[in-house]
Amino acid sequence: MAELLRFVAAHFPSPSDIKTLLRDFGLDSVADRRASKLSGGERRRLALAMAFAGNPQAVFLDEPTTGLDVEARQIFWHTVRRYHGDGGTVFLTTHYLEEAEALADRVVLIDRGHVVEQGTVAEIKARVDVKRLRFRATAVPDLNGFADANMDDGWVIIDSADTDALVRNLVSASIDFHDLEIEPVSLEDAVVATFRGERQEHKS
Amino acid sequence: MTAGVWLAHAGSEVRQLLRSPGYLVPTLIFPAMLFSFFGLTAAHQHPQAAQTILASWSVYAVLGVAFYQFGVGFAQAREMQWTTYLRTLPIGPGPQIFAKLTTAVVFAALAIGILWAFAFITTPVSYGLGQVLRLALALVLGSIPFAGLGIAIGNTVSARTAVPVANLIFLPMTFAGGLWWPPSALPGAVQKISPYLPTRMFGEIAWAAVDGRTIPLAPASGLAAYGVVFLGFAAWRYRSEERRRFR
Repeated sequence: MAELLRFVAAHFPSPSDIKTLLRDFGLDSVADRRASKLSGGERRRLALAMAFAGNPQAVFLDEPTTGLDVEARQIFWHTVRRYHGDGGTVFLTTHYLEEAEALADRVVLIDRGHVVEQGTVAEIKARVDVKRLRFRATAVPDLNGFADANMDDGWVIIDSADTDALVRNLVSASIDFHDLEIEPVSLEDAVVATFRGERQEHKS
Repeated sequence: MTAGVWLAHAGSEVRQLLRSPGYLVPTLIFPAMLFSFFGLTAAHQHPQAAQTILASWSVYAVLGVAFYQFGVGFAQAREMQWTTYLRTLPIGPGPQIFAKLTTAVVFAALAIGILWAFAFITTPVSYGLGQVLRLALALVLGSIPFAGLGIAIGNTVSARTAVPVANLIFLPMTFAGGLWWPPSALPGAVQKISPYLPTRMFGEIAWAAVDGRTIPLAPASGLAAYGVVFLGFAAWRYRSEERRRFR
């Protein structure tokens, strides 16, 4: 298996150090094993290691962590961060938004071939401008269609683009709430909100 | 691109084959084994024909490499994702062609080395240096049309059917070509078609090479004509396969 890495590395003028690659991707213990005898996760890590074998300035990875086990994903995240820290560029496609949030400087959201949003994680979140409002209540209050509310274990959760108006509404309706919190949403929720908005625009 | 890439490809190809017993046994062991079945007694009974008999089995050995490495090898490589991955590496086709040719030469030399070592030990036969050089040249040149035929087969049939198809062409052709038994010992009907087979032509050239005769014109030009046809066929099959897979 290490032979494969050496073989790929031989194609590049200043390849990565094979020992370092093996260590980075947790493949030390199986370096002498045949690639056909590797487990699924080990093969995926070998494929990733091969992508880095030429010591490239930029790497394109198409859903590299799909189906990867937790440990392998962490090894991968760690390697990408360090590679990026050393000046490398990674183009990464993923369905896991937490992955984009954890790794990406710049995120481009693509829906059915069209760029929907692009920018840093913070910019996208800001542009989407949805905040999450949580409070304790005994029942889901009637908001007269002002927003969709969900009840979860004693907490009422409402995602809204205008939480200020929502709070005023709650007060003027004399709704009995406790422990009110307003927090920014995750990238995933922001994306869901963006796509929902896009699709409604398409329909109208 | 440095020499390292070329060596890496050749080394990788040789190692892959060294790890496939399904390839090693038929190509390296069969020529010596079949010589022991069909050539050994005759070489003892007719010592004056022993050099010719060994030349026949040398041709057989080289043809085995052409059919199995190029024919079966290409068919298997087409179905391996690894081959597709190789195309993503920053190189042209040069190193891979070089790897295939060097590997073919290495394995043909190994097969003949084993065959000759076996023959030299078990029979009184031997070759002088001049004979070795002439035969080696005849084997290298004569095998080119068959490498073309191998590539054509390998780009036409699936990996699973490549082995039977290669056997189906290889075994009757080498037998009818007079490589197992001398042409005069072949059945009557086979004797009639034998001179028109490329394997017979290859044999004639190899026999002339060990006898120290000038290479006879008819089989040499016949084999060259077969070479044009086979290589043309190989180029056509190879191109249409590439188009189908990577268009």
